[in-house]
Amino acid sequence: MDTRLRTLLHDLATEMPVDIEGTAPKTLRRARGRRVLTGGAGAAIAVALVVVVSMSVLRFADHPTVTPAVTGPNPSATFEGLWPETDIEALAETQAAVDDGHMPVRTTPEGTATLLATNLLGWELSDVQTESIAVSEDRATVTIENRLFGDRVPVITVELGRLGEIGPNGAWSVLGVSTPLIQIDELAEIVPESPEIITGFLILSGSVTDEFDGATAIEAHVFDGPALVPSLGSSRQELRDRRFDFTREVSVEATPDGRATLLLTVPDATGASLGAVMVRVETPVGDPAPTGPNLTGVPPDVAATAQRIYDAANAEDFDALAELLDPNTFVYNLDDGSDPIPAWRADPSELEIMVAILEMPPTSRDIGEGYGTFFFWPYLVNSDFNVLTVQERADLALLGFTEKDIQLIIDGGYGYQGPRLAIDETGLWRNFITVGE
Amino acid sequence: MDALYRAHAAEALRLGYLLTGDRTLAEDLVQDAFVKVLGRFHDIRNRDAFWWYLRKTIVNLSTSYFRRRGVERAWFARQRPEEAATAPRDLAERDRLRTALMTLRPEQRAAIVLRFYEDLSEADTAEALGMPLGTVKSTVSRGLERLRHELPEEA
Repeated sequence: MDTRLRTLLHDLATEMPVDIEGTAPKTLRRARGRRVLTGGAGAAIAVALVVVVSMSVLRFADHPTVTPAVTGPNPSATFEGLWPETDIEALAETQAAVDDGHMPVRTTPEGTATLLATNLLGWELSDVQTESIAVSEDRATVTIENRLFGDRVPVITVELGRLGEIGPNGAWSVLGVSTPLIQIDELAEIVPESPEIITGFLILSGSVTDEFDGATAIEAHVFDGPALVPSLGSSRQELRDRRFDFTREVSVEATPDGRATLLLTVPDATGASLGAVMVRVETPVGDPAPTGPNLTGVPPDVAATAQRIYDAANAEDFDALAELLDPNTFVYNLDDGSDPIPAWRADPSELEIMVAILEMPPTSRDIGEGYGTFFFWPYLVNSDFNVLTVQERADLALLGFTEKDIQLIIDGGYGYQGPRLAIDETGLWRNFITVGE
Repeated sequence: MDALYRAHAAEALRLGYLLTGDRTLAEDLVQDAFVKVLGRFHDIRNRDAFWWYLRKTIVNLSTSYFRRRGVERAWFARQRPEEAATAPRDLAERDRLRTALMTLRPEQRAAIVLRFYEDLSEADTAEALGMPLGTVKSTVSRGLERLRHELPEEA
């Protein structure tokens, strides 16, 4: 089997078309864009955590607007800058360098806006055209335009500020970027109440205006520093009817101040951005929780069973799972008295679902005479969908529920219908259901 | 950077394809992996190390993708039961392998591909997957068992 398998795998691999000349330019352009200025920026970020939801909805008008910064949960997180520095210490380092005669481009708002165009938007320096709309001592509005794009592509507005030293040597920082090309209807970032998940979802929807028909896709990047890498999460979506609707997982790493920068770009065929929006998003702060079942508030007997189920499912140990359930009383997908083991052997991915929901907090419900109290994973079993919290929306997103799914449940007056598992108060495993009510 | 891409793109794409069974997904995944790894390499000197990081990133991205898909599948299966179609009977040998590979759990598939396509040792596979050696052994064993079941004539 081993030799035969090797041969078959190599044969199968030849099905993959390899067009290096065709794929190299785009990949390398993306990679180069992320390498610029990354020196020394990455070491601070190490802990993988979750992101997502939020109920902070930002709306953009039809005209260039200044994006209001979303204040993070950390009281010290008052630094307004989104790029290149995201905290006062980093700006102080830059200012010291500027004072020593380096980076003169940072002493003018036009120079800083040009730096954004070349470093983040993929524009060639010779193509960048800037115009100052309003400049005061510590605030400026600059538009940037790519000469190659022509009149159909609207200019990008960059809001800048001097956040440290004021005066001719004071470094300018980007406070926001906007374009009428990209309209955001909803932006939602989830900050879990406790960072117990390691991935989450960025919920983002909007449209690309009708003024330009060359935009085919949109990219979202979450980062915290001068470059897009180290990345806290990125996503690309092909536009459909000029609309985008991200509800997808974004791995986000903790930032020291609970904040990061979101950059939306609309790349053209060469990777240069036709438009861009830059806003602040919140990120969780803390250490990733160790993997394992969430046993919060459950009695010892229940906790012991949950741990054994989790371990067995994780190891895909069907014999151990069989020892934990009684086919005469166990309910699998609403089929009373059946033995689920053959079905799980046939589709082991069911066990991944088991593991995933056991990692979420549990809840309990009094089932009634003869049954006592059941402990359910996930806690969403008891959630009121009419008043979902940010955390509940985050966890539903993690289980694959879209906003549309949630609305269907609300409209239908249903409760949670996703995968769930129950253990009774004696520690007896009662059910595992993955197919709805 | 260009040389690194040209040196490893073909192998990366083929690995991505074996892990995903989907050409478009493999291209996207490999591009993301290159961007991540190239972006983190400020001073690339050791090309072997580059491939090691790239391979690990491709594997991580694919297992992450399929794990998420697995959780979602239960919810959507009821609404789209037609997606659970069985494989056609008269598939060519290559197609049967592709179908069989996709019945494996992502970690199993990755372990099998790393062991028998990349020809990594069990220890290297364990390192690439971030698994204990014993887990790799049992994962590969179960994966092979399942492949034998799915590809009886090749057993």
